[in-house]
Amino acid sequence: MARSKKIQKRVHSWIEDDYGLPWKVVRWSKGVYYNRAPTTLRFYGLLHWLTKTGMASSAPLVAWVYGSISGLLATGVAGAIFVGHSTVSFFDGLSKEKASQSDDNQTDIVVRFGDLLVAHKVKGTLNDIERDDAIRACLGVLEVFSRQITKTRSGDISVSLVLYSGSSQGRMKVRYRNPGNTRPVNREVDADKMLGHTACVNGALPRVVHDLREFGKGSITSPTQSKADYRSIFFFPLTVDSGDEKVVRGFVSIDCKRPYAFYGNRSSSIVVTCEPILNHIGELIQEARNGRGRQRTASK
Amino acid sequence: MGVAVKEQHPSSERFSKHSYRLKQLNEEAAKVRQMHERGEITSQEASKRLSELKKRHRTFFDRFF
Repeated sequence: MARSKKIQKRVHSWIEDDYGLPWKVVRWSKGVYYNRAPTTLRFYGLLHWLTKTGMASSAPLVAWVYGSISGLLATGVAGAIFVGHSTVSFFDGLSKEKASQSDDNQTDIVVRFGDLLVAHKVKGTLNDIERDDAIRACLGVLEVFSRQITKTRSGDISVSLVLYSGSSQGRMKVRYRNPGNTRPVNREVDADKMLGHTACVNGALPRVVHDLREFGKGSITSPTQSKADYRSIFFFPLTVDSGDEKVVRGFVSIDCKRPYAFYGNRSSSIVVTCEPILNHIGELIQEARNGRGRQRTASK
Repeated sequence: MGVAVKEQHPSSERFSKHSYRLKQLNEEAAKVRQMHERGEITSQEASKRLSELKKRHRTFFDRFF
């Protein structure tokens, strides 16, 4: 079934990134809401905050008990200290995240991972099964990095490799998924139904869908007929050499159940941190393609 | 086989600044990796450059928090 005109128009806006200032403000607010606002209240966290802030704002009440100031003034000053102290605690919590060294550790890990891939690069020696395992392992690593960058729980992120079927430009298949992912694979679908294909034919640049629901109600269907419980998607088209030209062979899709999971600097972190892994997947696909080319030449 | 790559330039009609930036960051990260593979830069230098790349397009809000 083709996309409705309304969805098509929204897909065009998405490709052109053609949004006005009001919509950019809405997106920024949504980004803050989905990524920064606390979603659950922990009992001990709440108790800690209440006792800490209560202690800090108790001084005017003690002064009122001893009759130094009036009850009204004590309440006003205690309230002001309460609000002030809560604000400081809020910023305290946010700055703790900035002070952590996890970002630098992540970069160190990826450099070492690159070293490991280079050390194990033995071109043309992998058979199909080994190559399939290697691609799935790469998708698994991508899932772990994406989870860490988007601060998402295990199981909320899914990574897939979608490739064009054979020599077709109109049919695609989800060929691989990250280990532990039970969503279906190898179902051939119409490429026009896939947003990733739209990204591939429009410059083959990495693209982010912040919230699938923004495309309209009809867009919340999975092309593979599996349950579409994801809301945000990151697409990374993969190009391979084909003679003198480069062709897009498919794309890596990282989807998340939470909307706006890749908003802001997170998509930049993914393209930089995961570059060796994405490159390695591209090399494995290229290797498979070259291997089949060699097989065809040998059989002629 | 796949679809032919149609390069997208800033002057083209269907240009997305954000996607173009992501592509540039990815290409620069690839250059850092290749320099490290060739032994032109140390692991520490590669790590430092990648960290800088990740922070290049941070907004005021990201920097602040």
